[in-house]
Amino acid sequence: MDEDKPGEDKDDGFAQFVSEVRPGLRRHAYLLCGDWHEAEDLVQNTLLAVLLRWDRLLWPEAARGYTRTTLYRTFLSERRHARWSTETSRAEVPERAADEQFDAVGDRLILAAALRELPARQRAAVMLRYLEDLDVTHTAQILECAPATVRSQTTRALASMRASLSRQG
Amino acid sequence: MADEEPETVHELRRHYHAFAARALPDPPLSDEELVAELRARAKSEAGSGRERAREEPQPTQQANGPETGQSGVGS
Repeated sequence: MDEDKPGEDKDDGFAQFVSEVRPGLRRHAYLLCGDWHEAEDLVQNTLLAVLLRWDRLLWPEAARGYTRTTLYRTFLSERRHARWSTETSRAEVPERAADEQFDAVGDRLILAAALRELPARQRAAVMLRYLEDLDVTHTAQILECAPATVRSQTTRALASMRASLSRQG
Repeated sequence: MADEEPETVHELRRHYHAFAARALPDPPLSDEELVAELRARAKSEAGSGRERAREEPQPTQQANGPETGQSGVGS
């Protein structure tokens, strides 16, 4: 048991990996969740999953790909479970200070607001396709659905966002 | 119906680049604190042998996946 790598406090490259990917992860988690409190939880859960498989992620590209996939699948899984839970966490998150501080700086977060209006799966599909620049096939693989589903979801999402972006922009 | 709406995609990316250029709020934990916390949680989970409830992809799936664009998790 002592040989388990995930819990070992040693130089296995995980700390450096966290430093490299954390800013991007936090940004994308925020755009997915719509607030920083949930985003930080999502990032932690994602990185924990990565750490638990760290010894099997032999290449940086594999680790990054696995991290991205885990981020989106964890987000969608948590959203699915939240729908069936009696907890309505999103509306009741008490810690909004980080959001308010961030929103108060510079221009309005038009992008986050527009994404927030989309259903979770459409939001994830749009982010993977147009913000992470993945093709339809890879997006479908991450979202565990058919490519045609990705196309229909992004089409609907863009139509919704067009109105939203033009209204806010 | 078209798969893409070029103007909307362009607008989306424009806002994204503006968003990505902004400084992030301070995280609740430093990188070092986060890694220590994650290692403790991983050790606890490995020790208890508890199966993770969340859906996790297999690493081998991702090893061959294309990595395109520069706006991914590492950017």
